[in-house]
Amino acid sequence: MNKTVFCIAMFLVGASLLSATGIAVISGQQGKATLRRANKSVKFANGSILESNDVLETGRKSGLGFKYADGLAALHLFSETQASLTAKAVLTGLNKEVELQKGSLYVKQQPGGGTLAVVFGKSQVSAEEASFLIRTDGGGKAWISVFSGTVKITNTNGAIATLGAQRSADLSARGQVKARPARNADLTTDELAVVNPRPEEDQRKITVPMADSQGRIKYVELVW
Amino acid sequence: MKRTLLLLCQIALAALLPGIVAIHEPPRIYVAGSNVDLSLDIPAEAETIARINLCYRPSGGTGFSVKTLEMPLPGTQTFTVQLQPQELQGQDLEYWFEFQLTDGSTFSYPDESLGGELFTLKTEIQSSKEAVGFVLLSTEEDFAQKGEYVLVVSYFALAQQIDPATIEVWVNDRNVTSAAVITENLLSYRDPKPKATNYVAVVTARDFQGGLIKSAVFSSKVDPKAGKARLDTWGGLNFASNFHRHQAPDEYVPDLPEFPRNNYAGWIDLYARYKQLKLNVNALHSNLEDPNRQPVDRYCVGLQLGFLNIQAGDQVPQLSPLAMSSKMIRGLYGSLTGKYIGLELTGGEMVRKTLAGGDPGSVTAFRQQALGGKLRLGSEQGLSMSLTLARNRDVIDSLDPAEFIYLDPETADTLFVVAPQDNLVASFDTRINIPALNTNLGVEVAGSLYNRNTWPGPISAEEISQYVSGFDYIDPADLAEVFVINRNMEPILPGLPNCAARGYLRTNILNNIIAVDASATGPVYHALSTWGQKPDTKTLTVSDMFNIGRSLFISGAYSWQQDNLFGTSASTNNNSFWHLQGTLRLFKYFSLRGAYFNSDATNALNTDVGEGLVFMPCLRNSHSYTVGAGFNNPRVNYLPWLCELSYRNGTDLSNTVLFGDYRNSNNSINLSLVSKFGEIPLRLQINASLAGMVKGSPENDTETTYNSLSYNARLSYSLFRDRLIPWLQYLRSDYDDVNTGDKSNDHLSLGLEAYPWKNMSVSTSLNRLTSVDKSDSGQNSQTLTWSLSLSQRF
Repeated sequence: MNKTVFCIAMFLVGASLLSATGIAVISGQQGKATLRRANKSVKFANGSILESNDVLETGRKSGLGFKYADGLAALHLFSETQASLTAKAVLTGLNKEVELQKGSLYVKQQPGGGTLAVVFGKSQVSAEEASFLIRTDGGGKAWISVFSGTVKITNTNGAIATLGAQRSADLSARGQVKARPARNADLTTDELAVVNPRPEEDQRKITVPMADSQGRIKYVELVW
Repeated sequence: MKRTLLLLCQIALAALLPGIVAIHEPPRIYVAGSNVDLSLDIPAEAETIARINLCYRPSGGTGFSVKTLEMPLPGTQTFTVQLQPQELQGQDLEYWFEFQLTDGSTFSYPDESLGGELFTLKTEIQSSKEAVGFVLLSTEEDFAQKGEYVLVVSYFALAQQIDPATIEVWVNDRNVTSAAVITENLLSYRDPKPKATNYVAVVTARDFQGGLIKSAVFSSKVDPKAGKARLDTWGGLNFASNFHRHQAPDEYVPDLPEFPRNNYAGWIDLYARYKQLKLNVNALHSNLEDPNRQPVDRYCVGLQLGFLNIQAGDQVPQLSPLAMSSKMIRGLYGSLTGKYIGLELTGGEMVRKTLAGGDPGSVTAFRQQALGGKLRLGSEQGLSMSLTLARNRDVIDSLDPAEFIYLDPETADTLFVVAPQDNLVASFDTRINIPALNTNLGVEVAGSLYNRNTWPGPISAEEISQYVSGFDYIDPADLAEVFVINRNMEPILPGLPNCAARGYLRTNILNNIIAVDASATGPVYHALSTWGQKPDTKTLTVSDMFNIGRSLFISGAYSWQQDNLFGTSASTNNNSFWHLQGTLRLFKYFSLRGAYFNSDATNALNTDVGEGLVFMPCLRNSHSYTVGAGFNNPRVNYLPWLCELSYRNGTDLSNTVLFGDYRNSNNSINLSLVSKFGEIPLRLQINASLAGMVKGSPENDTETTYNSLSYNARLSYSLFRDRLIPWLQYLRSDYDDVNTGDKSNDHLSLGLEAYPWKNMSVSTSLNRLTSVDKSDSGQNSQTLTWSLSLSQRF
């Protein structure tokens, strides 16, 4: 009997040590980025496990990717972006939530259970199967571009709008949604590289030497 | 090119050289922690093989480790080697075999330069119930792994079924659980300095009922260099020695095969890589090296930087099979390799063996200046053409004058009996590679100038005009810097006799790997930067290998050679050889084998030379067949997991003046068994061979019978998790010889293999060979040998 109690106690102790529940994992990093946990900076690397309420922040010319534990959501923070993440296990899967304070975030959510929501101010964008990019400078304003699937936009007033693939929308601080066709030109080079990754071998490049008015040789590289 | 090579080498049967065929069935997978036995069957010409080395390395790694295969028992043709877990290190391996023949030449199997691809050996993960709830998050497409290996596995869906405390993480068969971060939903393992390029990971856990479940096998390719520039160093330090003590009835004569010399060798290989820069330092010292054959105390220092490769010291340039290949040169080598152009240059010294002072019992060697260059134009992926030039000139000062001169005691004449030589070779080759058809073909034509004696020196234009015209404007004496022209040239007037040509085709069509080689060599074609071509001959070799998956292998080859190419001899000799062999695997664990070999040697009178010439007709034939059956299942314990039974029957006959009139027949039956004993780390290997031969002389109508029985048992036991493996081996051969009496050989060996720390291996053995002549005890002999080898890789 005593042995059984001891085993149960040890199991509970072990479980409590392990129960620093991981909800996501760092999947890539460029440039400088920080991870704060309980207001303390934490060292991290590729493969580091993220916990609920962790805050991620990227610096200039940097990026950070992470994947949720259910393997269904991959997200990428572009430069000068700050976000915190949480997740909650439900019967259908893992409900994931990212609070985007500022910056630009790319989300790729696959179907399979659980939802994903990106919260900014008092509004949020959620999806069950979609890939989209959201930018915000804070204050409830945001720009959203949907590449596949459909997202649901819930504004500060609780009103819900849907946005389909190849559409983008401006969301004002008052919650007004103004949609229009999406254009690649609206994306930065970094965003385009993540949204439409193209293998290097697919890139076609030609370097043309040109002389300027003073006879100096300049090389112009054309990539398409 | 690479694609073609890959396709050309997916099965493991090969006609290596005319006459030598190797059959190797790669096991392909092994269970981590267990030994791996590799075997190589040489159905014919096994006696021409001095040694076979297994060269292996972790897949994608650099630098090969070497282990020598055990020689086959009398009457058998199977060379074997066993790799221990410490040598395997639970990693995927690549390997090839290096053949060293008794004539000193070496070649590789498979030969990458001829389109071969290294054999591979992969680890097999232990089997258990596979759960789908383990999800790999660190997938290659959206998980950056530059210069590191990261494994992230989610078991979110299994979180309520498994106990996280029982999770174990296995990466490349190493338990890395202690280095992994494990939570309720996720685990993460990171190797910031990966050494391998292929990673295989499995996660195991126990459910709350105690059942073991495991994930699927997660394979990842990692580029250890990506994203970082660091200095990588690796290499090995090795020593090997054999010390003998002979108790022989006759006078001890060192260097006879039955009285091997004490020998030792040490060698070191160092490699470093930083970004694109690679450096290598290699050195070897052996007391068995022959200074008359090649430069001894070899060393080589080199660097490679992108398309540039520079080596200083001893190396073996492979510029062209007809002009410069396979011979060691001490000097400099440099190459520039581009996609559409390539240049190779080498210069230094070789050695050329010759008699000293005309005494057949005394040997010396010229140092020989050797220069070579090759220019390639065109892509190796398509059409390319190359021009190769090679020059060899004996350095006269390298010999003591006393070695040149012979003083005839009868006539008191002073004779120059050793002649320095000159040789100039030019070759042109064209290659076409058609990846879409898995085909390579090429043609090479070469011509040589050869002067067998440059002692008289170059002759003037006036002198040479007595023989040939066309030297009115050029004094041949001025050309002596490049090549000495005098009346000792062979031939004096260049033409087809001093040319050679070869053509080849390699293709893979409908699972047939076809190789065709043809060559013709003129009677006075000489290329001193090669080991030589058989003069005045033409050859044709055709081989085909066919497989249906791993179930059926069939291979065959035909080789034909005819001399007297220019019809100048009264006799034309023909040699032909063909073989056909096949292996059929049944029900995964069983196999049937069969093979047939035939060789013929005949000659014919060449009446074009003249009438009434002496002609000795010749007819020699050798043929044999082998049948066998085998069983191979490494999971079997106690009972033999490997069984091989084979029967061979052959006949040799000759009807010649030169070789005599005989008809010999031989047959042998061989049995091999290998057993292991479950958890007991004991391994038992037994081989037995019963052979008989009947020597018949039709001329005398007599027959003589010989019989031999050989058996071998080897027992090994693993201690301290394979760190120490003592072994005991006993081999006995009894020969029943009517003419010379019955004899027997007893060979008792006691050895130890040890792996005291990482990448260090020590192997030592004490061997006693006792030869007993039952009819004359005075002929009994005994040899004790102590062998020691040390190897430290780093």
